[in-house]
Amino acid sequence: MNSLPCFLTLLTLAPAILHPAAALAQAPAKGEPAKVSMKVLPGLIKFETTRFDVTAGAPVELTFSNDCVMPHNLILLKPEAEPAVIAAVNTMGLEGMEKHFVPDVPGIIAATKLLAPTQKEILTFNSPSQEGEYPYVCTFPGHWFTMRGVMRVRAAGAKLESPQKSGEKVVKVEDALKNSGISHTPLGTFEKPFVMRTFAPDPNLDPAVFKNHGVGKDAVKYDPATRLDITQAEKDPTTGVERQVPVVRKAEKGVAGAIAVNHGPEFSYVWDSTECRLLYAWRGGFLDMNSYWGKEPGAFRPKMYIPLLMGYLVYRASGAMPLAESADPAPLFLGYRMLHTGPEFRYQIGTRIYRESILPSITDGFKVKVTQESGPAALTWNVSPADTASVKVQPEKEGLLVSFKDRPEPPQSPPAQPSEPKSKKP
Amino acid sequence: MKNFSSFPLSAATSLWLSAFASSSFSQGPAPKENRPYQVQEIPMPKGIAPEIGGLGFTPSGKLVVVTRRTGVLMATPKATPAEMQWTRFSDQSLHNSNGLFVISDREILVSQMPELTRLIDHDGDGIADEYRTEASFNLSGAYHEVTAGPVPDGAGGFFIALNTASHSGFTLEHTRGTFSPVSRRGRNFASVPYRGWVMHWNPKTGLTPWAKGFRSPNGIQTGPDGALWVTDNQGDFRTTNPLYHVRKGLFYGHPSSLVWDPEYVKNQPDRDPLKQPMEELDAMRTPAAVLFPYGFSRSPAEPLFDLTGGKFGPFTGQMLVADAAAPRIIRVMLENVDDTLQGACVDFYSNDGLRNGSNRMTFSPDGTELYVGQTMREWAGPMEGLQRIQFKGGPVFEVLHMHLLKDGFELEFTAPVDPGTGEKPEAFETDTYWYKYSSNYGGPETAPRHTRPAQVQWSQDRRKVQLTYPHMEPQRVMRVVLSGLKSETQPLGHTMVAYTINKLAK
Repeated sequence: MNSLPCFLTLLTLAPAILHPAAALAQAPAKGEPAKVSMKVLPGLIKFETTRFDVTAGAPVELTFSNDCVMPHNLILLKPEAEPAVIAAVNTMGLEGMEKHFVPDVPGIIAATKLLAPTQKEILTFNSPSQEGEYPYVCTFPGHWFTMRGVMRVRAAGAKLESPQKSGEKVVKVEDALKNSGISHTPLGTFEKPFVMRTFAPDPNLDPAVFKNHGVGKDAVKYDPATRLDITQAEKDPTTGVERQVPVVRKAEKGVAGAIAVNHGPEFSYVWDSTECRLLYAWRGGFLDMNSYWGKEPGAFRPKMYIPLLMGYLVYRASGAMPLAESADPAPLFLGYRMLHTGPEFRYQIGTRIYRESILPSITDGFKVKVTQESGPAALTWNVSPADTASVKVQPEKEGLLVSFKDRPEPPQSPPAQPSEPKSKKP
Repeated sequence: MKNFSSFPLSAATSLWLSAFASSSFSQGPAPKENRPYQVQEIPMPKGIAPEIGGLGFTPSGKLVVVTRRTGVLMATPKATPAEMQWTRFSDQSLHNSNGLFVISDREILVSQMPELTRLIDHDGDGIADEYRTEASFNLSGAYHEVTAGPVPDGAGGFFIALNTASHSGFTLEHTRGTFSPVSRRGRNFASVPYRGWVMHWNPKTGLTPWAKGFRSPNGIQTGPDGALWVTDNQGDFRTTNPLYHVRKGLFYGHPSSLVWDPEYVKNQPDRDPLKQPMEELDAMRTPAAVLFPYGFSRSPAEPLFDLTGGKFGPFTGQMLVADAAAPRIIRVMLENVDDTLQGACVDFYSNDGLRNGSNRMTFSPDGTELYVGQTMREWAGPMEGLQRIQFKGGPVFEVLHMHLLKDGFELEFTAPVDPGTGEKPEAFETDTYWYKYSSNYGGPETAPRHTRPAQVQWSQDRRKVQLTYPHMEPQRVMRVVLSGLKSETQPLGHTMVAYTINKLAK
C-alpha cells in the first residue's frame, strides 16, 4: 500500500509512457478506494477520460481537476437518469450557478461543485452494486452534449480495462487578455479626459431626471421548458400555511446610455445620451470596472456589470431637463466632438440644436457651457429647485455659462450588487 | 420534464457521439510546414484588451480593429506580426462595440450597445475627433443586448442585428426605450423595442425594423448577390445554431421580438407570443438555411464570403463562419433548391493554433490572409486575441461542393480522388436527424436514423461522386462522414459534411 501513492506520482509525471489506468486495472489494496483522475480538455468542452471501469460496490476516489478556462462540474448518474437531470438543469435558470447546476432530482450518484478554472475537487463514493454503464456529464449549460463519459461498473473479480481517453489534442494558445496589462480602474488626466461608454451607476437620482426613459418593472422568472412562470414554496407569515409564490427578479439601478468622463482623480461625471443632460459628478476616483470586466484579466468574466463609483458625489441632477419646455419632445442625442477640454455634446430638442461642455475646476465646482447652434427662441436654463443655492447662470456669447458649486456628499457605501450568480466562488 | 420523455435522448446523443468522438473530423494532417493554411498570432499593444468586436481594412490598406472596451486601433500588416506599428484611432472605451464598417482612412462606423456611431478624423492626425450618433438602440439593461454589424446593403444603407436580453442579466428601473412587461417574460426577452430584430439604417430613412424573431444574432453579412445572412445562437427557441437567409418582414422563430411588430399586436395590445401555441409559431417562422450540428458549432459568429478570386484557396464564393465557442472556422456550401437557399457545412479550420472565441473576420486586401478576431465573455471564459490564417498555397484536398440531387447528393472535391478509395457505401456512413422547434433551451437531434448510400457513382475524372440513397425526405439534416478518401498527395482534410434539407430537389 505504501508503494501506491509513489507509483501514481510517477505515472502522473510520465503519462505518455504509462497510463495512470494501469494502476486501476488491478484492484486497489483492500479497503483502499480506486483512484480516478479526471481532467478537462481545455477549450474543447470534453472530459479527457471518456470511459473508466470500477468494481461494483467498491469505494472510489475521483479527483476532478478543471484545467479549462470555463467552469465545469462532473455529475455521475444512474443509467436512466440523464434525460430528467438535463431537463431539470434546463429549468434552473439563475439558481443554476448557485446550485452548481446540480438539480434536486433522483438518480445522481455523486456530483462536484461547479469548479472555476484551476480548481479541483475530490469525490469519494461507493460504486453502485449493480453492474452497468453509468454516464457522467458536465451540466453547465451547453456542455452536456459533448462533455460526457461513462463509468462502467464491473462485477467483483472481473477484469477492469484501462480508461479510454479522448483522442483530441489541445493546442495551447496565449491568453492575450491576461497578458494585456489593462487596468480595471481606468483614469484620464485633468488635461486629457478619458471617455467611457458603459452601463453607469444610478446613485439614487431623482426619478424625474429619467423622464424620457421607460419604466422597468420587476419580472417573474420564467421556465422556457414549460413556458410557465417559476414559483417557489413560501410560508405565509401570518397563517404559516405554505403556498407557491412567483420567483421575482427585481429591476435594478443603472444608466444604460451613459457617457462617463474622467479628468483624473480630481473630477468625473456622467452625462446621459438618453436625457441629454449631466446626471451627476464626483471626485476622488472614477469607476471600478471589476464588476463588469471581471476581478482579474483572465479570470471568469462575471455578469454583474454596473461598475462601482469611486470617491464622493459633488452633484446630482434633479427635476426637469433645464433647457426643455414642458411641451418639448424627447431630446435627440447627435454625438460629440472631442475638444481639448473634453467632449462637446450635441443634441436636439424639437428644432433647437445645442452644444454642451462640462468644464471642471480642480478644487471646487464646475461649469456647464451651452451654446445654441440653431433653432428659434432664446436660451433659458431652468434651474432645478434643489440647485438654486449652488448654481449661477450667466449669459455668454451665443449661449450660457452655468456655474455649479460642489455639494459634497459622504462617500457612498458600495451599492448592493444585484443578486447575481457567485461565479467567482462556486 | 414531461416533454423530454418523448425524445429518444440517450439514443440521439450516443449516435451523435459515435459520429464525432472517434475522430476530430480530421485525418492524419500533413506536416505543419506543408499545410496550405497556417495560423499566426498577432500581438496587440499593452493596455489593449484584445477582445475583438470588429475588423476591417481602410482603402490605404490599414487593418482596423475595434475592441470591446479599449477603443479602435489601426496598423499596416507586416510579414512579422510583432513589427506592426499600432496607432489608436480612438482611445475611448466604447460600449461593448461589436461591429465596424470602414468608410475611409478617416471615417468608420462602429456599433456599440446604445448606438451606431460614426467616428470621424476631421483634421487628419489619425485620431477620431467626432463621434456622431447615427442611430440609437434601446437597452433594457442586460449585458446580452449587444449588436452585430453594420454591414452594407449595397445601396448606401446598412443592416444591424440587435440581441435580445438574457434572464441571466437584469433589467434597469429606467430603461432606454419603452418597457413592455409582456415581453419582459422569457428566457431571452425583448422588453424594449427592437431587441431581437435585424434593423436597417440609412441616412435618409433613419433606423427601421427589417426582420424579427432573432435571439442572439451575433453574425450578420451581406453576400455578393445582396442576400442578407444572419447566424443565431442555440438557446430557447433555438434547438441548435442556425444560419438564416434574412428577408424583409419575415419572422425567424424567437417570439419575444413579436411584441414590437405592429401587425402582431394589432387590436391585441397585450398579445403575448410566449403564450401562443408552438404549432402556430412554428407555422409563422422561416426555417434556417443551415442547421449547424450542435457541438460542431457552439456559438456561430460572423459569416464572411470568400471573394478573393482564388487568392485564399479553392473556395471562392463560399461562406466562412467564425465560431466563438470552439477553436473552429466553418465553411458553408450554399445552393438554391426550388427557390430556397440551403446547403451544407464542413470544417474549414479547427484547433491547430486557432484560438476559441472567433467573433469577427476580414480578408486582407490582397486576399491571401484571413484576419480573425476573438472574444467571448461570460459563460465561455476568456478567449480573446487577434490571429490571421494565411493561405500558403500547395495542395488542398477537401469537399468543394455538396449538391442535393433528387435521390441523394453529388459531392465535388478540390482534387481527383484516388481510385480504390471511396468506392463503397461504407465510406459514406450517414446519419439523418432533425431539430424539433421547441421553447426549451437547446435540444437533442430528434428522430435520428443511420443510413448509407445504396449506390456510389464516381465521375470519369474522379472529382465528383454521386451518392444515391434509398430514401430522401425534407426537414432532415443528413450528416455524412467520409472515410478513407485520398488524393494523389494527401488524405481528405475534413471528413464531416452536414446538409440541411428544407426542400427536396425536384
